Amino acid sequence: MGTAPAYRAGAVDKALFTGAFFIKKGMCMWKIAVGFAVFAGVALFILSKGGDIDMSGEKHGDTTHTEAPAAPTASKATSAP
Amino acid sequence: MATAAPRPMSAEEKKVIFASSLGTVFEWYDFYLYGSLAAIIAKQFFSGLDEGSAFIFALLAFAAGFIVRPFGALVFGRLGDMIGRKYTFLVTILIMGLSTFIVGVLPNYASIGVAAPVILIALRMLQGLALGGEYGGAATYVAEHAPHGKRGAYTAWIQTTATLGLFLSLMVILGTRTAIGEDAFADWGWRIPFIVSILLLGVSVYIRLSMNESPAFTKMKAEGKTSKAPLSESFGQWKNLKIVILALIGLTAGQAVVWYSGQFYALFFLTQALKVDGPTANVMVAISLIIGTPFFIVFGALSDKIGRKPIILAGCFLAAVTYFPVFTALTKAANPDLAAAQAAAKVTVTADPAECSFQFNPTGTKKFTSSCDIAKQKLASASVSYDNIIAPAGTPAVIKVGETEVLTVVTPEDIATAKDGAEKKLAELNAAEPQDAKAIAAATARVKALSGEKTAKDAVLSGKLSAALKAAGYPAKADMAKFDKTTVVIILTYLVLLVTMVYGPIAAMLVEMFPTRIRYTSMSLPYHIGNGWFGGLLPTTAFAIVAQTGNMYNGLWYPIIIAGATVVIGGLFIKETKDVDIYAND
Repeated sequence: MGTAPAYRAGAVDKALFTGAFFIKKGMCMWKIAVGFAVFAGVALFILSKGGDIDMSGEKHGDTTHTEAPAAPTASKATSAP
Repeated sequence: MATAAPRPMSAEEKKVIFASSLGTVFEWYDFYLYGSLAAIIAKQFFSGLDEGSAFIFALLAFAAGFIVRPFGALVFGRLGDMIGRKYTFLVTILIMGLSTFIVGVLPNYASIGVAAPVILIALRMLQGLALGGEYGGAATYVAEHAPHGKRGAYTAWIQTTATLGLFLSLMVILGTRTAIGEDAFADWGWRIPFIVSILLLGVSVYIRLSMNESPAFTKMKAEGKTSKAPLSESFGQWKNLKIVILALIGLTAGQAVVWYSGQFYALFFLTQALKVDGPTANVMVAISLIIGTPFFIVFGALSDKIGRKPIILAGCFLAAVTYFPVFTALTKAANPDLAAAQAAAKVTVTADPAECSFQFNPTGTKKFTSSCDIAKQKLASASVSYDNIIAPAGTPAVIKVGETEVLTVVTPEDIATAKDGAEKKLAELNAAEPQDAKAIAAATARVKALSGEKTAKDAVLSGKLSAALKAAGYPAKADMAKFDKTTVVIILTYLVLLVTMVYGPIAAMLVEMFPTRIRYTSMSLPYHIGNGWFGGLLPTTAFAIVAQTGNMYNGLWYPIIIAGATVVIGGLFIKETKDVDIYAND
């Protein structure tokens, strides 16, 4: 019986410490998640309002494509960074 | 190997990831800027060139992406292995950032003549060179700072930057365009996104200057074990060269085609094959990217637990076995009328095989002018599946849609008749009240095309074919009333999830495959060849296969075969690396 309060206090401390750790760790992730959601939301809003834009990245051969007759879009190779 | 006790990410580690990721955000921002502004840049810098010069510049632009980047991987990889990661990727971001900024202030062709495209191409070459060193540096730097058992989770943050770079470029471009108007944007406003990049560069350089050298490189340098000749050690010794080749065929080639299919080919397929309007397709893809992006971290972290190899190869395997049903389902969800027309109307191309080319055109400089090539190009662009019938030698190609024959040979009488019809239609539209501006613009463009010496034949053939296809039930555009948004987003998200499976753990795996003394060099080359060549050639190869075979899904054979080969070769020869001690062979 005599050790119970100390045990309980230790358990509470441990739980609080663990909780605080996870909250702190979680908060960091939450900040990133919320930041990403807000950023993505703004981008999506602008995209839905702004409309037509090529999202397929850098393509090659574009220097001549302004004059190329009937050049299919797919023939432009895309190169990743 | 004992694993480190789980602990939260330290402030220094967060800074390392942030600094490295900023550089890759920059890469992606730049990648999307050039894609979005390609037409404007071409008009500003290349419109005054004669055909011969334009051809040379097209080849040089192609080289900037396909040749210079792997070469940059060698140049900066070597530097990174000799003088250190920190200073090398400080140099790469400076070159990359300043080149981007200078494009924003570069006078155009009208101001300084041919010097404008020459300087632009030189800047693109410099960018390509720096880009070749950037990713390998970022991945190596983060992985060498990460505790054992966390490299997958830590390096996965770098992989999320593609989405951030895309969204950043969208916000800057669309924000500027909306603020100053379309005309001003095409005239001078396009420079703003390039100039704005100086802010990103400033922050990146400031943070990178305050970083420490990676612990692995510092230890190796202190022990005097740095490589004197990283290139010959990496590629001149079979035991390392073998791993470089395996990393390319057994990992990055498959990763690249899955990534390109999920992020770029899906968008291309929606807009070009399924005729969904651009803004709708963009929003669908953006939503799926938002849902999918956190999974880079999930699969990166999971790879620390269950291994990199099973996740990457499972992604490639799922891609190889599900692409056909998934893209077929995408057609039914996005454009059911097209799916119905393809099933109902039989289309054939009767042509002399000697006239038909494999329309592979990565530089955009070839012109396919035979009647067979033109017929196939038009049908493939209209997403029409067709059968090939062999015609006697010398016979011009004939397209048959149901019972309607469309001849590819266009006579002057055909042009005159079509021009009369188009002019009458334009007059009617101009006389109508209220006026339909879009229809008038389309009719004006058709009259102009029919009046041009070079464009008239093409316009007549396009008109005849469109009429025949319309009669057979082929829709000119996807009917948005039948467009199933939920299913389309689910399908696109599945494709992005495959991307996150193959791409999330790849940086950690590549880093762990090579010893510290040649890591930067050895991992950069397979990454850039895999992504630049295998991935970058996907759109043009897929189109050539579609045009050749007459089935709009057959382009998928390219990623399926490459991903399948990666599953087999990677499965047989690549060893799991998650438990590798990256200091062991130093």
